[in-house]
Amino acid sequence: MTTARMLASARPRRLARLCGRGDLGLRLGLLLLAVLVLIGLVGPLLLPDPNATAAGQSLLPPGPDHLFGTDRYGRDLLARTVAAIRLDLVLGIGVAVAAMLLGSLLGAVAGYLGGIVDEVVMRFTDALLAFPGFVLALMVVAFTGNSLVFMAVGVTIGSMPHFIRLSRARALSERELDYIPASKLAGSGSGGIIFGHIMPNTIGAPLIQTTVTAGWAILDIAALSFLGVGVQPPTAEWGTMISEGYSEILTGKWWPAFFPGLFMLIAVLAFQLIGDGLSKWKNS
Amino acid sequence: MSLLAVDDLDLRIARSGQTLLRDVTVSIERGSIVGLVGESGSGKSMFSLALMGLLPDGVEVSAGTAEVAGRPIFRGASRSYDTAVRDRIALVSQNPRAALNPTMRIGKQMVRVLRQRRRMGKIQARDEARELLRKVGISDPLRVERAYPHQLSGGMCQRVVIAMALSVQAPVLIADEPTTGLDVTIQAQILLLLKELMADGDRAVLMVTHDLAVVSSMCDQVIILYGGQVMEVGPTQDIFHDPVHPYTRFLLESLEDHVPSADDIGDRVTESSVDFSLAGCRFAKRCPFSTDLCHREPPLARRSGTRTVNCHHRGVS
Amino acid sequence: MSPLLQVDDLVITYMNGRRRVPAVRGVSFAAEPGETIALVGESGCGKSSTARAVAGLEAPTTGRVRMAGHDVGAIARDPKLRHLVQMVFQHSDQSLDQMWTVERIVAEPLARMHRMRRGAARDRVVPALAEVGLGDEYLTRRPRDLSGGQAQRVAIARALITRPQLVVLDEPTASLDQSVRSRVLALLQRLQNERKMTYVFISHDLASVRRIAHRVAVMYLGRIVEVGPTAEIFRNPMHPYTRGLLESEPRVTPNEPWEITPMRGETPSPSAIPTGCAFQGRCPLAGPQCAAVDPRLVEVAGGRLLACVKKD
Repeated sequence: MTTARMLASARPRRLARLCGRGDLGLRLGLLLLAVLVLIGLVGPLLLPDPNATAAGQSLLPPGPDHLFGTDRYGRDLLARTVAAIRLDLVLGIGVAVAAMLLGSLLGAVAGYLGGIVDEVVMRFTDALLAFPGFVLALMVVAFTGNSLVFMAVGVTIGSMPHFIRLSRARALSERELDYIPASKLAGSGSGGIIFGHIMPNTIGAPLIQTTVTAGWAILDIAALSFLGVGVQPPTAEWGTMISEGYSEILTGKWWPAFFPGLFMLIAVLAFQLIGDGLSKWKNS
Repeated sequence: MSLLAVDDLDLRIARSGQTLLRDVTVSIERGSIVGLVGESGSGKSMFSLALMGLLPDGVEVSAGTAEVAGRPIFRGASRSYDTAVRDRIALVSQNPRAALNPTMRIGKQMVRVLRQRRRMGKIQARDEARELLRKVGISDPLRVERAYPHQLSGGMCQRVVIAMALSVQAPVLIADEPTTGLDVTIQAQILLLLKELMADGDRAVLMVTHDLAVVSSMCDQVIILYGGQVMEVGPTQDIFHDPVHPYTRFLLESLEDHVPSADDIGDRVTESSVDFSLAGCRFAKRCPFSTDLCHREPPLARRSGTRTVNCHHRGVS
Repeated sequence: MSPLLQVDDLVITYMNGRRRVPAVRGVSFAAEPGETIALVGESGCGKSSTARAVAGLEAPTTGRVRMAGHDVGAIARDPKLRHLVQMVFQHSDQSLDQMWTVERIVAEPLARMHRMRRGAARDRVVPALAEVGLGDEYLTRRPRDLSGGQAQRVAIARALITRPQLVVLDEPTASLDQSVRSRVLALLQRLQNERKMTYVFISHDLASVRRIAHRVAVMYLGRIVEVGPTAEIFRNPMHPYTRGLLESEPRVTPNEPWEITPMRGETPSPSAIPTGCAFQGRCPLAGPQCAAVDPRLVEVAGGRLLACVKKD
């Protein structure tokens, strides 16, 4: 309806304006992420070497010399937590983007082509969904060997089903629209239609889902590292740090596990808020 | 006495301040069928939504009054919709299937309405429902009663919706594009049905449509709407015989069976969409006769006998 | 002259679960170069399936669609021939990709069929748009910024940019306002006169058909029931369905109101077509032989074909 169109255009849809005065959660999420990124970029330049051990400095509580305290080997926890920002964010976002690209492509292909291709892709998706992404990543690592790359591949595969489903559902409705046969008559093959028409028209929802997935991926990666899979000590990573620190909690030394956990929480929260805010914006 | 009387109604998009409807006046006597005609973007659907209290978020009544059977529709300073008038207005809409509950059998839906709105007992309501279905030309009401909406054709669903509209015995009926989307042969059946049902003269009917041909066969009076502004009002035969407003002339000339004549203006009317923030006449941008005055100021209604024309330059001779 | 388009005994059957639902049940017609043949009928008559088969978008279950000596299916697969058949769709808003600009939309056939780059394509897109009455300023617009009429003009420009010989017009004006409708029809007519294209015009709107078509084929439940020159069909409809259809069409009559005279009944479902004549249940002339005989389409006068046992 024409009026619906007018109403839509009267609404401030621009992302910039939305960030200015829109959803509070989205603004908070973007702010948190920006602060994290800034600390991650600048922090390591100002802080001591995260892997430098210091004898006699082990398990010092938070204080003026070591704001977050030190761990069992006397390493500065602030430096380690901050150093881990880069690794965890890059891994989380990288995994989410890879899962988004691969998953959306698979979904678009399955939805557009239908038939046997759709059947195979959907059974594959169902199989993936039967395991939590975390368990799946464990299996991948068990088969391929314990390395960071294979762990990331595992988490990527485990994160794909959502994207496959989202983009397949959209592709199924897009392929019914007349611009698809029009494009066929213009001489496009299936590849041209999938990359030229279906993907651009179905990528919106997966793009938004990517932010939430990045949060989940950080959790999965940390959990795997906690179990000693993927990221190996002494590399500073929130999961490994918690793993190294959690036994100290019993003796009342809470800080080695607390600060990496706090940062992880902030990162996941930021992605979740951004994702929720974006989907609200898209549906408004 | 007018059963439906709308005076100078304005609708506005709250956020942008654009007026979707400007000074729309409609008056329908008992026993009369009035056609509200306009192309897409004319605001005709917004008008019926406003009367039903179904305006989308962000659109508000910003001026004017409206009464149905003597009762004001919009109340208070904010002109909010008075839901108490709902049972005085019945609606037959464009998409009959969407108007019916897909999960409930037809008979049950009708009985529910009759029990709620007319306080009937169960058995009485069931008999009345059958009677109504027969009245709208359904020869086997027992089968239709047991059917779900998806088991019925579009034409059948529209008959059921008409039956339900009749069942509430509202003095005013709004038929919003009641046959759009139906096949021509079914459209003719539904139009004839509506015309016969309205022949008893108890109601006031507002027929909202884009189809001039439908109007010419159904309505006593026509209101031509363009860009949310009334262009011309008058008895159907007079308007079709002797259109005065340039827009009305243009519309009639665009009919396929129109016989071209020397003073046709159709080719000189430009194609551009409605600008809802325009101060002057909404048709000015396209009108071959428009002047500065048209762009600056909205035209006032010029009345003569039964006809009204909203144009700076053309009046009824 | 040999016909450009030749449709022979076209049958299209869809599977609805396990059930076979016939959409087109043996349709034959031909169209000459430069001719507009209209397929008219109500929903479920098979006109859109026929249109898609003619455009090569739908494979016939049985029967043949040939154009200029080639099978339409082969034309659709042959990169050198497929520009010959194009189509304009009903919903102008759906037939354009909302993410693309007008320039890219109109250039799509050039890019795909002739591997033409954007700069070279623009030299052909601009005149193609001008021909449908749109200026350069539309190149960068997107479909959501176009009115229904403008969108349909863009779709027409896209269909015609490869200089097709046959254009299938599937209800090209059904989603448009009356005043825009007549302009788009005029545009289609002018383009046909300039380029001598053949149109297959699908419509349920008799007024548009009367204006644009040279010949009319009236369809009912997957069959053609009557064919003839437009003027004659409208002046003297022979099939009772054609007559009912013409009488149902609302008309503006300036002097007295149009008398509504509806045909009775509704079109039966394609999965429950009666034996004998498919129209018998609604036909005012139906007799016992209508249930017994399935009428064939036969020539009854010069250029006029009719499928009715009651002809005389």
